[in-house]
Amino acid sequence: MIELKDVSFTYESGETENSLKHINLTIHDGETTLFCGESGCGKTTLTRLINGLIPHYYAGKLDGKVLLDGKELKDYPLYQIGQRVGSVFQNPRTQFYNVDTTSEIVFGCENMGLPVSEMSKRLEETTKSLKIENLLNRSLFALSGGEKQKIACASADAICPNTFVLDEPSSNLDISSIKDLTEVIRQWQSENKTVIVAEHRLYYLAPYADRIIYMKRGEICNEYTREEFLELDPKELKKMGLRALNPFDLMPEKTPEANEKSLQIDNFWFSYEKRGYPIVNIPDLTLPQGEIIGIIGDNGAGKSSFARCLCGLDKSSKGTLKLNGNALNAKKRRHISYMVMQDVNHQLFTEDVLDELLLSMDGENEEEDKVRAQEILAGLDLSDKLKLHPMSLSGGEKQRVAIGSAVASGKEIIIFDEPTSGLDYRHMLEVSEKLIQLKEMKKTLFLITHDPELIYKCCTHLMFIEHGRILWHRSMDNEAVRLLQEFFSREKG
Amino acid sequence: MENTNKLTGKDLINVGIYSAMTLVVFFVVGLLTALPVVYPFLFIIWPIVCGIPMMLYYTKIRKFGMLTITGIIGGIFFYLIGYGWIGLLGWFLGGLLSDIVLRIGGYQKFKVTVLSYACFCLGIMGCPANLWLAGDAYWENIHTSMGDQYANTLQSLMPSWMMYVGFALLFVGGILGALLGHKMLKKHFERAGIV
Amino acid sequence: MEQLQAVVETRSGYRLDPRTKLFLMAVVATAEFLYSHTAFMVAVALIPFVLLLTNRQYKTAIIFFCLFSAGLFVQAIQNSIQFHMVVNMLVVLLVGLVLRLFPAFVMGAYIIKSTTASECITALGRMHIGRQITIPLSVLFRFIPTMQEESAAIKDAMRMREVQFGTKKFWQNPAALIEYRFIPLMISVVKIGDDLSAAALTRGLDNPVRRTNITKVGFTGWDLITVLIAGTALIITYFFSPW
Repeated sequence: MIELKDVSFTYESGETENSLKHINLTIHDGETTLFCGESGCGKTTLTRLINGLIPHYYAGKLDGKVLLDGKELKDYPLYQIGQRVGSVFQNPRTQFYNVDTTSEIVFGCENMGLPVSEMSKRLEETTKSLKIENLLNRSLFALSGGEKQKIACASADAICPNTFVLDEPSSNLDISSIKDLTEVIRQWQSENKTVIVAEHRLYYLAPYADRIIYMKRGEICNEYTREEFLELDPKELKKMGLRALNPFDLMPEKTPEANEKSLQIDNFWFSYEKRGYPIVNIPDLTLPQGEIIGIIGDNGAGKSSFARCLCGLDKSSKGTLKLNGNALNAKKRRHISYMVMQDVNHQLFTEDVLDELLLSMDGENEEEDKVRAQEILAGLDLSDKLKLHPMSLSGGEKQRVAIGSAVASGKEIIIFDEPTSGLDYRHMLEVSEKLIQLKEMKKTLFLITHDPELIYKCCTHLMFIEHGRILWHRSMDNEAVRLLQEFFSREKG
Repeated sequence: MENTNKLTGKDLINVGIYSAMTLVVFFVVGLLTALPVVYPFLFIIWPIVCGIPMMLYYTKIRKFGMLTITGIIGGIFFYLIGYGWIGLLGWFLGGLLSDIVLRIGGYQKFKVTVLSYACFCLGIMGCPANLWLAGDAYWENIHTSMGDQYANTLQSLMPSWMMYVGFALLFVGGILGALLGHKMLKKHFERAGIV
Repeated sequence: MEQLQAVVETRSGYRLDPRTKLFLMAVVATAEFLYSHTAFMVAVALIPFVLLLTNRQYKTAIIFFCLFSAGLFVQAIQNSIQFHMVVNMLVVLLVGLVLRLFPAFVMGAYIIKSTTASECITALGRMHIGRQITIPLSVLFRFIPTMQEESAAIKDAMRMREVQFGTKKFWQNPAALIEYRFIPLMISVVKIGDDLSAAALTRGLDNPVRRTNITKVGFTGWDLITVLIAGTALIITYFFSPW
């Protein structure tokens, strides 16, 4: 049993976001509890209280008591708490410690000093119950995000704790990996473990949670049973700032307009080895200009490789893109296209936001450039951040700075790679508004995403990639929606 | 738990991260200037460039031992890729010396940090040092095994005063590197909120 | 950058304990100072050469074989042919490098390709080396590939924004290019490190109990045979040179 008695917490930095105010809560053994709420509502902070990272790792001002089976957690060192509470975190790339999967799974057991025979037994049990036989003895760096997250779950499982705490575990996962994650959680439920999840995406977990707790500004705002929560009106959910419970069957909100201009792709071809198996193979494709084109397809179907071809990032990629009558090879495509990466941290270089935009301009006339940069930043609601370091901004702001630099350099094609991973409803909405704003500036946008809500919100065209080929592409009409839903239902199994 | 002098898991992870960062930077710089002509200049380039990750590292150091471990790890690395015992010893001594400077001078003080880092850089000398430190027997060996021509050429390229010049270059480079690192700290890392 | 493997794919029946590899490395590295006869040099060079073959690193082995043979050849003729001064210096340096330092470098290539990171950590643990070394070393093994991944992503981003060699912006401030490449890398590594520490600590990294390891290392007959053969060859060639 986990009890929180009048718990308040503020991080060392003193920010009010993510802090907690007077939380009173009891979680019984074997319960599955889902915490939801907008970013900054404190749900991640709550998970850190339960797995002991607060106060043992993250410093701050803590009042009240956090009890696990009647014992106060702050009196026990992290390694003891860790034997009773297993943790899985948001980013599969950052939470592993070893370089191979088997060592990673038994990492916790090794630290406990378990004898090798016991460890091997646990390894076998965990591998079996989470169905990861195929992942043993592999390099973690060669795994997909979904597979890494499974290993993270397995590593927590091998310690055999009674409680599992998951902090936004689906943030970086695609739809089929989320399905696998659901199965892992179901497995823990069947073993009568206590499962605590903080999450934005609700559709996969709400049907299995015993309680759903809605938080707002550091307080518990409301508590629902599963039945009550599933009954909630979609409009009500939006008002609460929550993601849809059934994001797959929405209606497209943007209708495609009649569009004369087009861009033409000729003989796109890319493979890792010379004459190897093609990762991208598109002999001929005509797409409308000035639309938001959603790219969908399975994991490893070639979506990212297609995007890299389009940007001219891979020197060995062949083929041309015809735009406004010019045939552009890979090198020339780099002048007109830009990709906003999933991890936007990689593409911000300078010491302040304004410089970041100036870096993308030609520098012929500095004063003029400055004025234009400021205009662009104002359009992205960043006027008050001009002098801040880009890396000190929030995720969404960083993304907007990256968009700003693309606009500043006059790129015509902008590609977004999973721009809404890990975002709550309000931030997702913000992203889609920015996308639409760019469309109105006559930019052609490509959108690689697993976020159905975002697709329905803003895409006007869809293309489906499988084995490096375009299986179909069409504007967002009824048939496209039917095909999209077919794809989703296959993905979520 | 904060006031203990024992290195915690978090400290040790930091040691690993910053050692990795510094070694990678060290290695990349070594590759960029692979031309033999540049080799003498490396003694000043290395400490300057490595100053950036190391100054970031120094912001996390509040206990004795972290720099020594970094030295040992650097040494193991160079030992493993074939620089021999002196490579290991040099890096270890450089780390130990810089740790002692910090211990005596005090942690998180700018001037002490600069001095400590300059001392750390002296350890880089471990890599080429076997040419000088091995002594006469070594040269005799070279003479007999490699021929007089080789030995004389090598000896003319590596007069023993070069060693002192090497140390001086490393030390000066270390001071410059610390200043550069400090500038980057102010320019980027502090403003980015990661210090 | 060279880095220990996560998983070794080409594993044959022959395998050495990492401690034996370290010992042989020590032997090869020390032998650098002891070179006396050509036969001894050949014996030293044969150690990494044979080991490379056992680990199926044929390409490295062949390159090493060719270079070393060429080195021996040049050394044999260098006193009978007078080169031009500068050429001579270069030849002498290169030959010296190949004959004297390459065996150790190649040994390093073998160790790195044949040993997994967890084997290395386990072996160090067996040698009673404390967590003060093993933890930073594991973190190092984990971060080097991470830095490669991050660095590749940053390089792409720079190319996409045309921040690169030769552009007008570049000539205005060439040093900025290095700054743009390294600073974001360091920032993201620090952030990854924070997440990683939290995740590792919740799984008991700080537990003072003596750690166990699932990875199997241990001496086998192969270690004994290898050390005996290598030792005999070195001693014989050192003391009783046939040439």
